[in-house]
Amino acid sequence: MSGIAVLLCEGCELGSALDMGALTRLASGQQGVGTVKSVPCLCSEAGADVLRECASDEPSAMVLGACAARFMPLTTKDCRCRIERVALRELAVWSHEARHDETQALAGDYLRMGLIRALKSAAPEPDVREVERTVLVVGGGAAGIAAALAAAGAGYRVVVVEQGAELGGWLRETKRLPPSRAPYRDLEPSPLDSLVNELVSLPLVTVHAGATVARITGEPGRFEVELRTPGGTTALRAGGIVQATGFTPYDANRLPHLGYGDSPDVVTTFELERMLAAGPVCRPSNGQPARRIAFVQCAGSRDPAHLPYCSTVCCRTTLKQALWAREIDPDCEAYVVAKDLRSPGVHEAFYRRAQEDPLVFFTKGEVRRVKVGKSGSLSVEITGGLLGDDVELPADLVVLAVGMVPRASNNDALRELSDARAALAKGGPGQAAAEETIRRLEVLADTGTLGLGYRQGPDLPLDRYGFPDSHFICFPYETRRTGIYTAGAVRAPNDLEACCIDGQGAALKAIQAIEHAAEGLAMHPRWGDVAPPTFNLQRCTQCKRCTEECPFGTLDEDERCTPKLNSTRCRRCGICLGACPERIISFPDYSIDIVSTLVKSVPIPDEFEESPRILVFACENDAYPALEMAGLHRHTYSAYVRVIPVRCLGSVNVIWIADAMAMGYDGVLLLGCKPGDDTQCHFMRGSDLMATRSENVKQKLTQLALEDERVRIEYVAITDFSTLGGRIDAFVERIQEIGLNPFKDV
Amino acid sequence: MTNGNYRRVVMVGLVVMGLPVLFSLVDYARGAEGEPFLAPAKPDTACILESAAMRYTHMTFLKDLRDRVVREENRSAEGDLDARGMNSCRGCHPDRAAFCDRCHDRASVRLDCFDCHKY
Amino acid sequence: MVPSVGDETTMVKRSPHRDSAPAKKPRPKRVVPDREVVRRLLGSGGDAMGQCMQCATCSAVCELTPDDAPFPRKEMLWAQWGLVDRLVSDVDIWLCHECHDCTVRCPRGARPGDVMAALRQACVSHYSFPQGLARAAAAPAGLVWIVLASAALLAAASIGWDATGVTVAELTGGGTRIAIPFWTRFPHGLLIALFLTVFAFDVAVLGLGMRRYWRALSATALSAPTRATPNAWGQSLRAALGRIVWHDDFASCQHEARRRFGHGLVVYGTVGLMVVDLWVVTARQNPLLSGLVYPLGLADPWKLLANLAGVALVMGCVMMGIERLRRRERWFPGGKWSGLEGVRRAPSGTYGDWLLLGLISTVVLTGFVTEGLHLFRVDELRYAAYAAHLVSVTTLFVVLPYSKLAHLAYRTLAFLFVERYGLRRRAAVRAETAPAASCAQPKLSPQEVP
Repeated sequence: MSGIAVLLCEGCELGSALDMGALTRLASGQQGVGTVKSVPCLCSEAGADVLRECASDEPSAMVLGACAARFMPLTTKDCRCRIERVALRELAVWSHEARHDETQALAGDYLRMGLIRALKSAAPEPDVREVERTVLVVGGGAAGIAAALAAAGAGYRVVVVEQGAELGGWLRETKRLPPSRAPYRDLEPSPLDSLVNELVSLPLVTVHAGATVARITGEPGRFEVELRTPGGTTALRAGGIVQATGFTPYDANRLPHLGYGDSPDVVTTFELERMLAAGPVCRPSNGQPARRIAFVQCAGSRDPAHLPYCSTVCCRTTLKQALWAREIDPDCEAYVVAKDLRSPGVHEAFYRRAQEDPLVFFTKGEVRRVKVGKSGSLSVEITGGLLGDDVELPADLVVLAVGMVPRASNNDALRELSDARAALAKGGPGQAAAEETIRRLEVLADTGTLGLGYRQGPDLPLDRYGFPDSHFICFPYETRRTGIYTAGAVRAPNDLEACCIDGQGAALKAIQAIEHAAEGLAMHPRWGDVAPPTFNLQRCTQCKRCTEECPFGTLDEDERCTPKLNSTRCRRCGICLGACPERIISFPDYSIDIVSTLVKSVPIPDEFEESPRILVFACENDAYPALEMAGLHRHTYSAYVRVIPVRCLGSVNVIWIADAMAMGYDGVLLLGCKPGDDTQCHFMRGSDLMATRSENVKQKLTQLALEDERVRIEYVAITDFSTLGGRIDAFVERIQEIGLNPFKDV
Repeated sequence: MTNGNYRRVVMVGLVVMGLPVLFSLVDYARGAEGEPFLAPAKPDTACILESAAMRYTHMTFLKDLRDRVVREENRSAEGDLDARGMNSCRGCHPDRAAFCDRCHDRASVRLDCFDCHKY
Repeated sequence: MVPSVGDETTMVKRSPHRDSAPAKKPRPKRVVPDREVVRRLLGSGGDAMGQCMQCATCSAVCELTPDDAPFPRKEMLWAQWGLVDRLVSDVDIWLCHECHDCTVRCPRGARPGDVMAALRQACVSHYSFPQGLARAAAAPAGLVWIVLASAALLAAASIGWDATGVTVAELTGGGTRIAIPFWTRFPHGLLIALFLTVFAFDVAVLGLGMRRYWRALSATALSAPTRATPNAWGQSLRAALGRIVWHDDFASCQHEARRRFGHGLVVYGTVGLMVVDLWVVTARQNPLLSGLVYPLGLADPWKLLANLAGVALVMGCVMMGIERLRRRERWFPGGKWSGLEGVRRAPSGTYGDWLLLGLISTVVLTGFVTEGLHLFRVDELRYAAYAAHLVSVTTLFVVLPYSKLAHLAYRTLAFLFVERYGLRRRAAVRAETAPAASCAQPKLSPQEVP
């Protein structure tokens, strides 16, 4: 071991814009530093030689003052030690004025921070334990079968739990399907039988039909599962879980204005599916052939009073059923009334195929109501289309294209119910409220799906639409429970194809979770992070903030409410670290102490120098890369800022802000992802938590007679790099207007 | 073509359509009225057909005559009419310019030998 | 504010009395699709109309559409549903000049331009009688029968005249005026009598159709007038005729700009021929004439005009025909159009379009051939050519009130209607209110009237 090796690159204008000698002297003067070298170009052959040479000396860590690792990989596997990259190029040289004192100071501070990180970070110890290489698939519909096939195909044992008597789910009800391959014109037979046959033929797959999940405990790699099977209970172990519990059709009884229930001739697409499979479509009321079939699209969908979202599949189902009915009875007419017909992607071709049939009539319009005449005749009253504002369309049969409701349990309600029951059993104050809660929620008592033995409830947290939440574009299949992935219609309204793709994707995610658990590595988004948090439990006050605020339900509690870590559930976001008022939670390479030291390492110019210092905590998921990209694009901004990357806005402990203000920083800028209902936070809750905490911080500032404007949160997406510099400058300008921090010389 | 040009062209067209009327008026004003259009036949002669019918059918009549006499050697029809032949027309209508050409010219009928003497 | 396209119907139905008399809600109007109408439209140019998805691109790019109830989007829907009542009481179908700006832009290849043509054909058929003849005029199979019938009519007239014992002289007129028939089997008196009869029939059919159409327009469109007091008849007529004389509406066409010229040649060629006809038909009564009244010599000013007009007609027809055939290449260069096989066929014209061009060209060309054969004294063929000419003219006159040619009546009527009731073209509105309106009404393709 030869201390910390520091290599400074002089390429990309670094050498000409900065005083490299000064930087070298600065590095040499720091604690624990061994060699310091300045290299003309680190990414050249010669630079690589210097790197290898340095690495062969086995330094305790290497600090590379060069460009951002995001844009230029420099090190190889030969460098076994910890490596700190200081992005002098993007954060200092390319984004600030060359050969300027402030730029030089900035580069020096960043280099100093890199050295502190290298010095203070401890070598992490991965939590490596035995794992169970079995994927549990909950739900045996299309997505579940696809997940099981994919997992078994990858060589993993699979247990499929299907609550129905047979595999297949809704696919069993569906005899014909919209086209799935080019030219996307003709109806296709259901692939269910071949899928099921393939599945049951696989030796790695066990199917429990008529079974449900009673309870799941443990963590990724080591779930203990208890099933309720027709013969009793079965216990098994699983490493990863795929929840593919599908959907239920929206309850048409809640749409009385559309005539459902008033006339037997008003049916849903799901009922028509059975009628079509049985042969010629007849009016249920009198058995006469249905010659005029009116399809009402978005029955209860895209309607704030019912389902606010689009189920994406109903329109294609209608197209399919219209063509199917026309095929059975070429003399019948189909009318389709839609807000707008949605057949996404290549399925547009299928829409066009249906349009080619002159007896399938389409119109835009809102269906005001379905009128049932005295003799049982039906007419659809349409408004808002080009047919006119006030028209009625006589029909023999009205088909309501109802949307899909995810079959996922309401975690929050179930948790509230079990908490209330626990409170009632324990006795004490609040009995009446508990009883009231139980009365209100008792109806949900047996609606649990996974029965998770987690501190934060027995099922997956839901988003505002009732789907298990995650960022469904950026992180598909993810849920807020590590190792449990959703697939199919429970994740998003999906058609068969999407369900199959979903099943495969979720199965692969489950496998990944198992394999990462085996090596003690974190899952998305801090891939491969080795080090779980450690808790200094002697000082824990059992305040439960960490167990409550962890977005992933990582922490359980023992009887005394001290947090109990399940390391493979942890995603290393550091939100517990940000939450803990006692500051007892830390990671080997990210802790209260490390960041505090970074904050304090920056020399603060005194009040006469007119040189403010602004501390920026930038979320490393979007904001920090955006800053680096700003540098890459040579967008300049104030040199008074000192940026410290953080794992998430939620991982910012307010003590750091307090430290900064006490140190004499003039302002603190927090850059993170957008919060709210459609949060862009990679850890789901971080930005929301920071928004709450910063309110407290501002109150504190006001108590200290400091302006609360000195702390600002800006929400940044990675694509905002071109405007980010301007936003930083605006904050710096505002701080200069307010004036310097009066605590500077304290 | 711009809108203005288009209108100009249309106006020129309309004027062109009015020109024949103008010419006809000029023609009328110059006055050829009163004078018979075709010179009459010699007095005391009888035409081989009624004169009105002769007007419309003399072209075919002459060709039929040619066919019968020259190609079928049939000189028997219609008495001795055939003996008189084409030249016999000139016997009654000696003024070719006033009797034949005037009308032929007006109607752009240009006759030459080979209109009849062919094949 | 840009009015959203979804508001179209609302605006059509807006009543000026709404505020004063909220009164009781009207009964919803029943919509019953007519599959027979749909079938006919599919066969006469609307074969791709089902592809319309109501995106309103067509209405947005159209320069002729009025802003408050734009076409052809609503007509596309009505056509898909076969809503014949609305289609035949819609003035907009005649405001369309088939420039196909919409067809070029249609993202679905639904060819709204051709659909509008099919709708006009349907409108003409709907209002004309007898319906059998209307149907025959709308399909290629019917044309054969009409041609045969025309030939038979001519033959019958010729034979019938022979049988009556009227002489050529009597039918041709006499006195000091010499009139020589082209073919003694068809003396001029006979032809004049024959064609005047057919012409009277045309006038009757068109007149009745126009009367019915005007009533239908008045009944539907005027239940919600866009202007309180109609313009005066004289003013309306002047404005309507002005639009025809100057071909203003063609001027806003973007993708077939040369059609204005081609159509003008045909129109004015026809007018020229009609003038000559009028002269010739009245020659025997004309006090200005004496001597040989016809045939006309080549140097005769009337003959010159006739030949000039004939050349203009043929040129116009050829121009329009070539434009039509080259549409595919011009509008979709390199054949680069997306979509399904057969759906995005190039809009090279409907049967009705080609029938009209074909008939007019045939009439003029057989006329020229006949003239040429006459001049070069090819007697054997000139009667055949003349017979063909007569048959084609008769055919043209017979199909006139049932074919696209009927547009000369219906479109004029439509112009008169919109001028009287103040429905405005978008281009005209923009020209008057520019530039303020150009801010208020953003357009997909800003284009000045050339």
